[in-house]
Amino acid sequence: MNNALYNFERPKNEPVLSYAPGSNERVCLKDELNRQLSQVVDIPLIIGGKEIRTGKTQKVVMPHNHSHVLAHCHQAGEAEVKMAIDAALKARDIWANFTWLDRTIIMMKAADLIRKKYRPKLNAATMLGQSKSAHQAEIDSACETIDFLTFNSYFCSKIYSDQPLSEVENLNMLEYRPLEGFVFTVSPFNFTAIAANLNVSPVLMGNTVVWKPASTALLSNYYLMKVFEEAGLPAGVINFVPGSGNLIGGIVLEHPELAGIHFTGSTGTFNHLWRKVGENLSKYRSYPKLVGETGGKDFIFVHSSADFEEVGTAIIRGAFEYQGQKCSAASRGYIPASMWPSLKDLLTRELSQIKPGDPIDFTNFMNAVIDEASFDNISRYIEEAKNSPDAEIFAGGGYDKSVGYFVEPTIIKTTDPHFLSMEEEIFGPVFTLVVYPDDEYEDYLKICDKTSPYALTGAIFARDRQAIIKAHDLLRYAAGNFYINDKPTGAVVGQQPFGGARASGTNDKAGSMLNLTRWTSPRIVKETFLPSKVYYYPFMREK
Amino acid sequence: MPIPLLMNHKPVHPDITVADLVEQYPASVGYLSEKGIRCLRCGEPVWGTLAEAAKEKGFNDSQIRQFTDDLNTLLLG
Repeated sequence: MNNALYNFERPKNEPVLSYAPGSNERVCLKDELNRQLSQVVDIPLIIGGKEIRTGKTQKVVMPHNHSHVLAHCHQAGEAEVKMAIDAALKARDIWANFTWLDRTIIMMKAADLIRKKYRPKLNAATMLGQSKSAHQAEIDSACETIDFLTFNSYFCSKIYSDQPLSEVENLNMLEYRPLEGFVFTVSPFNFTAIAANLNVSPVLMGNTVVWKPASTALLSNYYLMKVFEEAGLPAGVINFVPGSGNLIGGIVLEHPELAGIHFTGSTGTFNHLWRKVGENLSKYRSYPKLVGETGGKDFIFVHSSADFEEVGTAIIRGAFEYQGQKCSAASRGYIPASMWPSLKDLLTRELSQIKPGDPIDFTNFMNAVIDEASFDNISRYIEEAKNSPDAEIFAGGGYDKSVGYFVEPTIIKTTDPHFLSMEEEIFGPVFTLVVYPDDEYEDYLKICDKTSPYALTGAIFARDRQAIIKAHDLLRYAAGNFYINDKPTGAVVGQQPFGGARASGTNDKAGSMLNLTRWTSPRIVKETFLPSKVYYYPFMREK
Repeated sequence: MPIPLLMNHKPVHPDITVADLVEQYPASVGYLSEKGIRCLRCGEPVWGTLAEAAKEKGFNDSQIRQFTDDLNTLLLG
C-alpha cells in the first residue's frame, strides 16, 4: 500500500502548438488526417470494459463533406443501458476504494498520453468529425482536455487535504465519499474537452459513470474513451454508451441509484432532465446532484471610449470561430452610434475575406456547422432577418448545404434591441447588433441585462474606467464569465473557471475546485480519545 | 408547400419525441419555431416529447392537439 501523502503542485496550462508551415506538429497532423480519411471506423459501446456491438448503427459523417463516412457507431438499446448502469454500480466498490492519489495518477497518465502519443489522433478526429480548424481542435481536444485532466487532479489533491480543526482531546476527519450510486454524464458535440471534463470530474472523486456522448462527436469521444482505458482506468468506471438521448435518459432517470447528472447542452434538455428527476424523486436513494452548463446569449457591449479595431477583432473571433458553436460565442452586440461607421467598414471588409471551408485546408478560418438540422435552424434565423423590416443583413447571409453545412459569417443589424436574434440562442455564425445613442449607455446596459434569460458570458469594451465600473455593476448577474476588453470566448482551465447562472446552468464552474466538490458526499468523523464517564455537567452541582 | 409524409411514418402525435420529430419530419421544426417552440438547441434536439416541449412554453392540451393537427395536415398535403 502506497502510504505517501503526495501534494500536487499547481500545473501549467498546456502550451498551444502553432501548426505553422514547416512545424513538426503540422506534418504529424496532416499524416493523421489522411490516415483517418482513408478508413471507416467501427465504433462499439464500451461497457464494463467490454466492447459491445449491437448491430444497430449510426453513420458518423464529416459536417463539411456529409457524403464522407468516417465511422459507423453502434447504438445502445434498453438492454445495453441497463448493462451500463449495472457495470457502473459493480465498478463503484473497487473504484471508490482506490486512493485519490491512484485515481489522479490515471488521469495524469491520460494527460501525458494525449500530450505525447494521441495529440494528432484526437485533433484529427475532432477536425474531421466536428469540423474544427487545426487551431480550434488544438485548443480543445489537446490543450483543454489535458488541462482538465491535470488541473482537476491538482484540485482533487487540494480538496482531500482540506480538513477541519481538531482539539487536543479529539480528532476530526473529513472523509470525501463518492456519491452513493452512479453519475449520468451527457456531453455535447462542440468540445471534446467538455466530454473529458464531464466524466473526469466525478470519476476523480471516486464515482463511476454512464456516459452518453453527443451523436455528432462520436469519433473523437471514442478515441478519448480508449485513452482512458490505456491510462489504466478500471473496467466499468466510465461506460461509453452512444444512443438515443430519450431512450438512455428514460432508463437512467428511473433508476433508484442515480446519484448525479453532469450535463452540458441545451437549457431545454437540462430542464427536461431536472423535471424528470423531480417526478422520480421518491424512487431515488438520495437526492441526485444536478450540474448543468446550458445555453447562452452572450454579448459584446461597447462604450464610445473603446477602440473600434479591438472591438472588430473581438466580434470576428468571438462570434465566428468554430462557426459560433461555442456556448460562450458572442451572438449579440451593443454598439455606440459614434463608433458604428468605422466598425461597420472594418467588419464588412474583414468578413468579406472569410469563407467557411474544409478544415483540411488550413487557410480556412471557419468550417461547417455540425449537421443538417443545425444548418436548417440557423438558416431560418437568417431568413427571418432578411424578411423583417426591423433588421438588415450587412455581412454574410449566405448558406449552402450541397457538399457540407456551410453558413457564411453573418451580421444582422437591427433597430429593435428585442429582435428575435437578439434574444434567442442560435448556435451558429450569426451575430446581431443594435446601434445605440452614445448618451444612452446606462439605459442600454439595463436592456442588455434584461434581454435574454441566459447569463453565460459577456464582454465590455471601454477605455473609460467609469464606464467599465458601470458595466461591471449593472451587468453583475448578466454573465458568469465576464470579460473586460476581451472576447467572451476562450476560457482557460484554472484561469477563468467556466459557467453561468439564470437559464445558463447551475454555475458550478468547470475547470475549478467548485465543480469537483459537487461530486462528493462528505462524512465527518469525530474520534474522541478519552470519552467522559459521567453524564452530568459541572453546572448541575449544588456547590 | 406541402411536405410529403414519408412511407411507414406514423402521424405526428403529442407524445412523439422531439428527436424523432426532427429526424422524421425536419420541416415540422420550422412550423414549431413559428409557435415559439424550439426543437433544436446547442446543435441537438431537445429531449422529451412534443407535448412536454410545448407545455414548457405555456401551451395547453388543446393547443398542442391543434399543433399536431396542423402538422399532420401539412405533412399529408
